[in-house]
Amino acid sequence: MKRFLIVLLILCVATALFAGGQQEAAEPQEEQQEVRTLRVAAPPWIYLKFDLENYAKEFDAAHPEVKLELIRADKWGGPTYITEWKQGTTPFDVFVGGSGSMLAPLISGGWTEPMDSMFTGDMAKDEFVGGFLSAGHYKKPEGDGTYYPCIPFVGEVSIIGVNTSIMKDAGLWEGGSPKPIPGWEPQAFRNWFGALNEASELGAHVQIWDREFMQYNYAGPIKAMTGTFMEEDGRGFDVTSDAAKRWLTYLQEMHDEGVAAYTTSDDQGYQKWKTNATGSFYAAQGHIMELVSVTEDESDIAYIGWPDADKNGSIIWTHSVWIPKVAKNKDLAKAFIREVVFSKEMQQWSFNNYGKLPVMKDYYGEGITWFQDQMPTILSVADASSPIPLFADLQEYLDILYKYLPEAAFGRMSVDKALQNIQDESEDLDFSDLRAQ
Amino acid sequence: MKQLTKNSLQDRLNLAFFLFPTMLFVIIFIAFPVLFSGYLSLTEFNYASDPAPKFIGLNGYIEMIKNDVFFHTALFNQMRFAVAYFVLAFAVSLVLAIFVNELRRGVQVFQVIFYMPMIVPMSLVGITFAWILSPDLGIFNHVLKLLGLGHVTHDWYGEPSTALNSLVLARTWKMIGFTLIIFLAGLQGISKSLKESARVDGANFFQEIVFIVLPNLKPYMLIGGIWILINSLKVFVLPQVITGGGPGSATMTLYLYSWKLAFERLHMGEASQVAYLTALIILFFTWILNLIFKPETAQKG
Repeated sequence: MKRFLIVLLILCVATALFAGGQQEAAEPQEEQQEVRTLRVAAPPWIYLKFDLENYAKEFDAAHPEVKLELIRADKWGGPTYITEWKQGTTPFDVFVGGSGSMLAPLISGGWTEPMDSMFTGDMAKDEFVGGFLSAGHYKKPEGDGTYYPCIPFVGEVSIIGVNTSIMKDAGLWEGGSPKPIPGWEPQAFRNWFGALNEASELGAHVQIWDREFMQYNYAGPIKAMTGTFMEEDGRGFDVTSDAAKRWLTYLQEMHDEGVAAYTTSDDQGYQKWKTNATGSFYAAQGHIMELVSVTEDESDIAYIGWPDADKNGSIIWTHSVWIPKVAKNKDLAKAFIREVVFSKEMQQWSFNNYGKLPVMKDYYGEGITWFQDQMPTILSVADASSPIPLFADLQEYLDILYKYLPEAAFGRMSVDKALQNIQDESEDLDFSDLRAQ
Repeated sequence: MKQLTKNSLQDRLNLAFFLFPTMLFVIIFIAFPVLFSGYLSLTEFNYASDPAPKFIGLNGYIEMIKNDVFFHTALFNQMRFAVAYFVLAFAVSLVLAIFVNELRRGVQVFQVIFYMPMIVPMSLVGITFAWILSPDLGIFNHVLKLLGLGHVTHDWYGEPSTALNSLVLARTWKMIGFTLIIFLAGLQGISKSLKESARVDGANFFQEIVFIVLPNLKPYMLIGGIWILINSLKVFVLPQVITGGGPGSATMTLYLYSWKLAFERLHMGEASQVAYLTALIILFFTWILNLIFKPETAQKG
């Protein structure tokens, strides 16, 4: 018993000493309370494709009262963040990044700070590219009115990039521009891709059929064809119209005839395009530009839309910046967003190095150092485009689409069966859109 | 007698004192999560938008077993994976162990070589195999082309017909080291005089294996079998790293589906239901094996 008491006593003393040490260490910090810490989190790809670190340093220097901490969010931790927010704390004050589908659960739970007050001065709503801003416009979770729980700061549009050398070899080059796909009629469509295929060593057309890109591959061309990719009643993608059947049939035929160079992962798709031996690539404009890293010549790439995409558009998506509702330094976070994330320099740096589209109209002029001649095509398609709706059951719906669309595209299932299965299995899903119309 | 009681009390206090940290750890990090997820499995709970779990009893389980097509697919894939992995891992490690045991020199070198993949993290194995079996740049397809087998090349992880088996291959490569060591220990314990007697009686190598080696190796084969079986039902990292459950849902396993429900859809109730159903399946198979695995055999093993 004596031994036990001695051990207990030692533990008590050690605990008291440790706690005392902590208190002493905390005291000097309390004296310096005037310096506030702003914690900015972003996923690794943002650090790569935006010069966040350098512009953050400038912000740090311009605000001596602020200590800026950059956090690398290696893995998306939605549930972890919510757990902290439920306790009233947060691991960061502002998050730079997050696609619509990633943010949907956070927004539907009302966990992010309304950003409506930020649309003033240089960031007034009419300064934005309309389509991109609309991706941040949501219905309020309480069901009363609309608001902006996040602000899109970078845009992407699904568009066709063509390899100019291969286009020339295929005879699809005229007057310094690529000959567009003449139309959706089967013969003209097939002839165009057939000619391109003759000149393409590894196939005429690359598409990525992973869980993310398959939705754009399917919806974008249907939207170009008809002006919408949705069912009339708004319950999911169009899987019943002639346009839907026609497009999926084309996809299957292109695969079966060896015209298509489909891949099942995004990385494989980028690698295939960067072999410089495929004629065209339907993907985000920025990834298409990556061919320049191999050929070192931007004139090797030109952009075209699907037939009628300049009028009917394609699919756009965005990445947003947002603030957790429980963040303490919201004023600093908003200043950071205005001065760094939406600065002309940082947005143009990203476009000039990685082809990420700025969301402010003014930023497309002076300061853009490449692909100037292609911008009208990219912007004309982007202007007419719209994002994929954020259905309440989006993740379930994507799982169903992923089960059948690639099967049909790769010719392993008939078009009719794939479309019917999608219709049947998504019957009970909730298709209410979180975004405001 | 008084002294004895005093000592006994002191011993108990000492025991409690030293066990306390471990017990606290077990309660907080094991018992509580297991019990709480059991409770969650009886509820409907969207972690992002529901303020609290809503109790629905066993209805969630019934709904999942009856109507959730993704659960059915995950269960089917899991069983396919388990059977293929069990057969392949068992056969390969047994054959390799017999081969290594027959060597006159370098037994330890081969033991190390075959055991090495065991210390490689599963995620790294996933990334490596994704590269090896990549359709355009992978070395496997490249070698096939060099051998004049270009028509056999394939998008191994990209096509539903081969994706799951390609995962089995990667996992087998990583895991056979452990069972190989178990089998080898058993083989080295078989008396040489037994084999010599068989040879004197005219038995060839295969008869020696069938009539002498395998019967004597039975307890070790049962231990190895249980280990492989448990591993065959715990599949998460490889499909998560390589295929994400795709193409379509061709490599969706029970663990992966549970993770998707919890961390993509934030449906904690459904995720817990899948976790508990998976645990029940593992318990069922362990019980079956316990029936086969007699206590005296276990002791011998």
